[in-house]
Amino acid sequence: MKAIYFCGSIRGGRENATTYQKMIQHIQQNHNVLTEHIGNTNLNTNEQTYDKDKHIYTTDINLLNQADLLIAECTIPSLGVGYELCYLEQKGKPVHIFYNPTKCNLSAMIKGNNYFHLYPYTNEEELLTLLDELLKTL
Amino acid sequence: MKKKIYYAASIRGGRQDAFLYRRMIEKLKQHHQVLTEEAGNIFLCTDEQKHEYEAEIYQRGMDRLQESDLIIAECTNASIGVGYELCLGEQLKKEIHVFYDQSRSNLSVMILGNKHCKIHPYNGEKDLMSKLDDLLVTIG
Repeated sequence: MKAIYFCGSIRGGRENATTYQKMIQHIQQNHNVLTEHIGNTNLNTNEQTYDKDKHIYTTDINLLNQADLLIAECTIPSLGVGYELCYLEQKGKPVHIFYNPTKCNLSAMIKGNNYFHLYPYTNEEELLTLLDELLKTL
Repeated sequence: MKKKIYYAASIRGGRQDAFLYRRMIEKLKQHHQVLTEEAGNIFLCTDEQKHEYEAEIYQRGMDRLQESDLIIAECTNASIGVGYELCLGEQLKKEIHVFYDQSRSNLSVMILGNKHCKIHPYNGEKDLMSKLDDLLVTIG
């Protein structure tokens, strides 16, 4: 059982929140998801007071430091997700990135970086199949 | 003294603010060198490329980040690449300045809650340019 940091867009836009939720449910069948709140479809995405944002930042950094690996859904652009991918790359942990190329152009900072494992998909069924295949190898 | 500035802004995340990026870069270039001038090119190709070329873009970005004296980012438009660059800039101990229009976006907590990033919230372009001028006075 691995400790998995799941990344999806929060303040960048919540259009894919239900997809994040389904991915998290698949991962939780055999692993521990450190960031279950990413799949919460009622999550508050507004800026908070400085002290509260600083507290969330510290909590997330602690979770990143506990993670065995990272799984991200990157179709919706997000500053926070880009930050987190880089953070775990620096720590030498595996980083797996799913994205739908029919709905986005993935950043060259990610696509051109050989460190990352990329999983392009074209619909949700394919996404969940690719995810299940990855989970079997962990 | 003339500084080498890594200017970071959304490319594939969306080019709605490309003209704004261009005007910021023009201002920065009056006294400094901007290493990433293409971020303000309104005709920039934002499509994915074949792998060799993507690797080249990535490597060029990494080299410029290393070379830069400081990072100035416009973060109103969410972007995975900019988030990546800010994290790497922090690891490299570069000074980081983040501008964003409060009336148009909610900035990520990974940036807002991060003490290493100096945040410059603004309301509209006039306010942005005046805050950018203020910053430029302090960096010399």
